[in-house]
Amino acid sequence: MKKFLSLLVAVLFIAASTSALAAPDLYPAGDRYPLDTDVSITWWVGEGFRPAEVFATADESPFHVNLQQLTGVNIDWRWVPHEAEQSQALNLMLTENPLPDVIFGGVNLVSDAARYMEEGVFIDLTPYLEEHAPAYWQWLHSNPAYANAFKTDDGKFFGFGFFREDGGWNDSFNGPLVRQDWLDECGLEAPVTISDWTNVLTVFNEKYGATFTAPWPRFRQMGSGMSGAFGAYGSSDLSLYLDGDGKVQMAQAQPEWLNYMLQLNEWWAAGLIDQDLLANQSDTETRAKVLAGSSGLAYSSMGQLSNWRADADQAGEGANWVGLQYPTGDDGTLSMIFGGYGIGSTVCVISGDTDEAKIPVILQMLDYAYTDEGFLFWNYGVQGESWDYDANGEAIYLPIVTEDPDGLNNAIEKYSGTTWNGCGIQATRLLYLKNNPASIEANNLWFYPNEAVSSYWRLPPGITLTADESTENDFIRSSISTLVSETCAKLITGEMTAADWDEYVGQLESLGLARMLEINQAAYERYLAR
Amino acid sequence: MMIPSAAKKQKKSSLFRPTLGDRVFDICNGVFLVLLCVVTIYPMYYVVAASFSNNIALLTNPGFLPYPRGFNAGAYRLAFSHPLLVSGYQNSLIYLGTALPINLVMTLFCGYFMASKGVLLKKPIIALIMFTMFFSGGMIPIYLNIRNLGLFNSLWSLTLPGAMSVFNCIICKTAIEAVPDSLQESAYIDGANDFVIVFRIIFPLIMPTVAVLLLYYGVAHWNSWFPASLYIEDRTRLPVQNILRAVLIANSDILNAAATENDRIDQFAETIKYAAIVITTVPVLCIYPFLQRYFVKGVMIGAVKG
Amino acid sequence: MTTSPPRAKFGSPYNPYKRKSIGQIIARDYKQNKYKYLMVLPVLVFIAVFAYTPMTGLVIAFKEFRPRLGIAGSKWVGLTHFENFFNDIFFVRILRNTFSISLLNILFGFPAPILLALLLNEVRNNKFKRSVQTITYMPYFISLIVACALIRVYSQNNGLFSQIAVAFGGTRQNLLMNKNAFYPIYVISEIWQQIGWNSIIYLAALSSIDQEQYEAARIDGANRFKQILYVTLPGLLPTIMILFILRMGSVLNVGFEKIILLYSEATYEVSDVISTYLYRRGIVAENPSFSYATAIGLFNSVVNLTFLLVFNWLAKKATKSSLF
Repeated sequence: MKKFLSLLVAVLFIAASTSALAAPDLYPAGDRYPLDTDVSITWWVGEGFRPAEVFATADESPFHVNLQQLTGVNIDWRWVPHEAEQSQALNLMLTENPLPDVIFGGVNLVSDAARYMEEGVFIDLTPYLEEHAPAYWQWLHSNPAYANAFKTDDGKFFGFGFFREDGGWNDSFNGPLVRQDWLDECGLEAPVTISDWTNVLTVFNEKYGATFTAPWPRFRQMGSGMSGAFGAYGSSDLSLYLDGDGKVQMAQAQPEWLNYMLQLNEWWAAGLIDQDLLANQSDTETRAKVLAGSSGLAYSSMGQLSNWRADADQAGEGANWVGLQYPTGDDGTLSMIFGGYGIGSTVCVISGDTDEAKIPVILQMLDYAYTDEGFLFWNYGVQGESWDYDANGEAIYLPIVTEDPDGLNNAIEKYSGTTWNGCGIQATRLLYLKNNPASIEANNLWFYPNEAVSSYWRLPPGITLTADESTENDFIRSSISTLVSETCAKLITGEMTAADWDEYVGQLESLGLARMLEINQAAYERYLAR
Repeated sequence: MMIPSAAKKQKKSSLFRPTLGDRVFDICNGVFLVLLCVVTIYPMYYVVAASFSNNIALLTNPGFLPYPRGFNAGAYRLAFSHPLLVSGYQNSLIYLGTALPINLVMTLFCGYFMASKGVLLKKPIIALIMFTMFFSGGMIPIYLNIRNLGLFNSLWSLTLPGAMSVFNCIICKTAIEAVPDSLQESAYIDGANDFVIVFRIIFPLIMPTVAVLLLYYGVAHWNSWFPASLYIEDRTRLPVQNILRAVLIANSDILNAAATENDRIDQFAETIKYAAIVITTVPVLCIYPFLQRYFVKGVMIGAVKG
Repeated sequence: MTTSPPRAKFGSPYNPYKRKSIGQIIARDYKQNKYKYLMVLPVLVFIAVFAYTPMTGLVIAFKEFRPRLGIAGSKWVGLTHFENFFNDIFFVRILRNTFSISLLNILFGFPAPILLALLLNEVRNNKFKRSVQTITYMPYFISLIVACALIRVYSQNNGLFSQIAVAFGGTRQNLLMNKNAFYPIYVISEIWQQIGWNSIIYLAALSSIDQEQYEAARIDGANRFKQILYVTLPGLLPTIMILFILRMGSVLNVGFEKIILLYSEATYEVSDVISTYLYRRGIVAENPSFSYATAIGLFNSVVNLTFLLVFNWLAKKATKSSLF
């Protein structure tokens, strides 16, 4: 069975690689760019494609300078520094008067889009899109899910989205990792079921004093795959999902989620989980622990795996971190991990304070990312500067990127706007170039075996609420998410037990869980009716 | 103003031989204070030792640190050349340099007014001032106010809202009250106005208090980070504490990213944090021994209530 | 004021038998104190702009404030936010935590510098005394960011606190994850940072105590302990009272910044206070409610003010020292 699986993975891996070669069918940029204009705009950028961490100003950032030259628009970049709290920065920026011309921000802009448009925070793009953003228009209509994700129930388009070329594969960038060298040393197979996990964790703990570790922000948001082995749909962050009957449910109100938590608690009590995990452990802290040999089974990302392997090579102590398939239930139940939509949760909008005359120019500027030429620029930078075609006609980064002393991840971010999140289409090829082969293989393991069960439990991106619903939903959600994340911590540490479950569910009800589900159910049904 | 410390005088004028009880008390007191000093100083020693340690050795053993593990001063070289730490440092200095003169003048004026006698509107004005100490608009209205004033993302958003602390004004007022009235009266007779009195007569006499107030304000400004996290958007304008917060609390890679080559962690990722702590804390620690002799003379509250 | 009556201008000598009109009083006050008023003017402008103007913004606590619609354009909702807050399932908890942290901090943190000042006052070796002072002042200069970063490092699973716990037969754990450890960590680190610095003000007050009182006490046969009790402490009392009233007036203003640097979901149960809750709900949350957060802040301020007035009144009755 295992052999078959790995064979299957290998086949799929090849399939994925080949599909990555074919560039998506995009609208030609033609000779539209650079635009013949002297318009200057202000563009506010949240977490996503802001200038790389090493740059103090946008003037130093090749991507941000080049985008202006290629589109012909003068952009005054405003961006959230890496030192700042992201959601805080967005919330506070929205109090500005006048607002910046273009705003790139997170998920809250999408769900409350109707209210924001009603208030005039951002404008309705519907009258302009087809004419001034033909490439984006074509892209949106290449897939019904795309168009639906960026319009409200009454059919108004509000923004430019982020898309992952290859759908689900790029979505699942987080997953379990294991030290193969320790597995070999202990004569263990790669763990598959939760019981296997318990066994491996126990052996590693006895032999090396190691524990399960993870960067908390990844674990709390993306841990749904771990929970999937229990039939649950979420980790510590409040998550809504669709059950088999198409009903919106909250993962953290289901007994399956309790089972997941109880398993974590069992590991916690046995000393098999890193006790620092819940202290908001960061990527850097986790990386340090991994390097110090205090973990053999962990949860992190493709990019982090690349880092860990680089560290291990350098330390030369033989640590061999590899990807590991998401755990299955003991009965073989596969984990439901990520949705297969390939649509990011961010959006780029034009604010209501933008001068009417600037709107067509801005639209064309944003449209560039969705043209054949702009696609290459947003992913790789300027041809001849940061990338070129290799002998096989595939894009590769030039030494200015690959030999950058700041490291590959940082270097790609300097030239590309889709490294993490942007308003454009992320090329799968970029991820292949960014990560080492072991990381790519890890992502294959995370995605393909679970693909069949992964897709359609997730609420489609782009469900929007009405203005009144927004106010109510935001309030309830805010209360419930505090309770949920806290309960998660308490269940893991054993401060709460299964005996407290009913009381917790009662609290959820008193906070308005039913009403929140009702609001989202209605919004989902309106979405379906679009 | 020069009042000798109680203990000194007590010793000089003591006619009595210390009893056994006194001796036991002295020993216990001494031991306790020594222990207190050890506990107080260890965390600071830890920072210095860690900053000179070997990165990996420190990562694998972050507990008790009797001496630097594997001596290495490279973290300092990197910290001193890091653009964000350098710009943060500069910003904090500019911020201090702008804020302190404002603080000083406002506090002197306010303290002088509070200490003045025979002013008709003194009571209601002081009430207005004191009220702000205990009642405020709160986080969001204050933020919106800064925004409306157009101070967002500027140095003034950090200096002006903290232009004066009412508590410090009370300390200043107490010091001014201790200045003999006759000095002011004779100055009046010589034709001096209140501004001349404040700067020429009061100011030199309350130097110890001024020193302490400057220190109070200075330390508060240097260590402040929350307002900047709300009001400053440009990272090149952030004060140094916000850079430290990213590095120390959020464990951002910002120092590491620029400091190490090819994503290598084994060089200074951890030790550079401690080097950053040392270079941002040492300047403040260096200033204070010069001011220390003023401390006890400089703060009075309640004791000389007018 | 340019039309002040000529009599005031020539400033007749004070005559207690002659009643002055209000205009005369004002004119006289202006003439004598105009520079003083000029001095306090920037202070008044400052508090008007940075303290009183935001207070007018409190009106959003009674509205459903949407930044785009402005304060005037947002919908009036009356006391809805307050009702929601009092019915919030976290209301009791954050109130309890705020009081707990604040009162524990007062209980241990307030007397600590007094104690240190008293002990230092008894030290006869001046060199030793100065060294202790120098060392205990130092943590005050360490920024909160750094102090909290150190606490986090020491609290790690393999950090210093764990090592100490193991040495005394305990187990390794991340102390910041342990809700029972949160208050001790908070209060002890607070004392560590403040004790030396806060003792300054008491040492200053001690230096002004009349030395003859000690002589007299000794002649009466009072030992050191009794001298402290009957001479030193009464001499400190006015200072203690003023500082105490000020402290009680901000009983709900716990170290917000320190808490957000130290807390996490695992300890919300004990560490989430009014200001942190307000901050999360009002500024950090996705699509926050500015109005709800402002209502919480208003509640906080009102409680503070009440405490201040009550304690000022009590202090006035008990010790004759008060703020106003």
